[in-house]
Amino acid sequence: MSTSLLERRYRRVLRLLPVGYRQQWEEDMVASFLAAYGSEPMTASRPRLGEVASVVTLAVRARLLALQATPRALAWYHTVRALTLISLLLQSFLVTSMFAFSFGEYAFGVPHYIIVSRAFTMLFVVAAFVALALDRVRAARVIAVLALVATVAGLIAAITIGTLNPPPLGAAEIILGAWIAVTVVAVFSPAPGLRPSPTLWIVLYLAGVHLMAPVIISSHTTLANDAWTWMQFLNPVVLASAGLSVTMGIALSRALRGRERSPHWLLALTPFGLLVGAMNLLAWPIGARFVTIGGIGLPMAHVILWCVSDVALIGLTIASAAVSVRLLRRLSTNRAAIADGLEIPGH
Amino acid sequence: MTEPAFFVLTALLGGPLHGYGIVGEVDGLSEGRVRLKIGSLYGVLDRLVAEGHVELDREEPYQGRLRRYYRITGTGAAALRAEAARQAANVRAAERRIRAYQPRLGGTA
Repeated sequence: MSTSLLERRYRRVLRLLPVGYRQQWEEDMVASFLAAYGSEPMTASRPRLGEVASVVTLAVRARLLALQATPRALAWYHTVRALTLISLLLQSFLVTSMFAFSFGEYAFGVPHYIIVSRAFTMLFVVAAFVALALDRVRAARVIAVLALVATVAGLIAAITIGTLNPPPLGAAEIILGAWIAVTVVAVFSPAPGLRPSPTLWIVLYLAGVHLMAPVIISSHTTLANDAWTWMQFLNPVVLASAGLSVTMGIALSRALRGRERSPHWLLALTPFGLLVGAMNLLAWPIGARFVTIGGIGLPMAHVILWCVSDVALIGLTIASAAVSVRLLRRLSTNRAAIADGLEIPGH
Repeated sequence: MTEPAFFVLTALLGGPLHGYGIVGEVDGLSEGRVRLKIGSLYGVLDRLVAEGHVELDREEPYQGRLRRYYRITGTGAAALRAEAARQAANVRAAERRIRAYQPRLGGTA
């Protein structure tokens, strides 16, 4: 069967539709379209403007709905949600630690308002995190924007008086805050079936605060060498590495046992695994220097444990990426409801 | 329920139809008021299939192509009945008011 110019042009217009949509409807649409033209396919060379406009309208609507329409698109949507929740968790750790840190600074004469601004930032970030964990999306949107404003204002104040310490944390705060505000406002919508247990997130947050705040405070206090050494070993990156490894291990185990069909948690954890793994990798020479030169003296066992945990994290990250890609490929780009409805009963 | 969806379901009450058959039937039922473009028809069909109001009846070869015939389901017929009852109630309410309506002559007093 040869295809007419009209058909080829109509099919070109249909390319505007999402792939899954075309798989379901394209052939039938072409058949109906050509039937509507009757004997005209022999003479007509272009689809009428009205027909083109109807396909364009359908394409826009289908693409707008596509976020929640195909299993694969849905998995990406869940991934962005999971990424945002993890970012917010990290941000909560960060601002709570910074608040604890500012008490150390206070002893060195840092103005009150810096501490007050950090308190507000912490309040907003933690409130946004709790709101999202409880699926209060509308409240979370407003609070996430307030948190970003408070973060930027606090950092500007700190830069102005020259107490931004340490700078990379400040930059990370702004980047994380901006990402969170954008995704919470633009992507999140209430989805009771997707939210993780609020208890889990709140426990994770409290655990993080209890683990990290002493680490930050310790850098402003005088400790015995042994205690200092342990605190250095338990730096935020190492803690993040341990937390990520455990979480990835659980997510991988669930995926491999077939308990988790959607790869969104693995996909969301992978970039964090890469980031923290790389940061740890860069820190290896520093650890080695402590050992070889002596210096303040990180015991060899600590450095070895550090390296082993980093290798484990990188291995888990690679495995997570591989498993999530495999799971993603299994997910159809077709809409399940439509596909079910288009099976001929009894066949 | 949108007007095109209402007419598509009504058209399918008469028996399974293929895409272009639905377009023609809707045109006739609406006395030419609703002329579905192919893109619009499949937008409507897509929703009706997803909602379980319409399903695939069969596929038949026609001029070297497979033609799909669609049919209305039980839930589709129930939804159409409910929508028709709602519209009929609206019409009765409007007709009562229209009958009672007497335009004032000579403008305002």
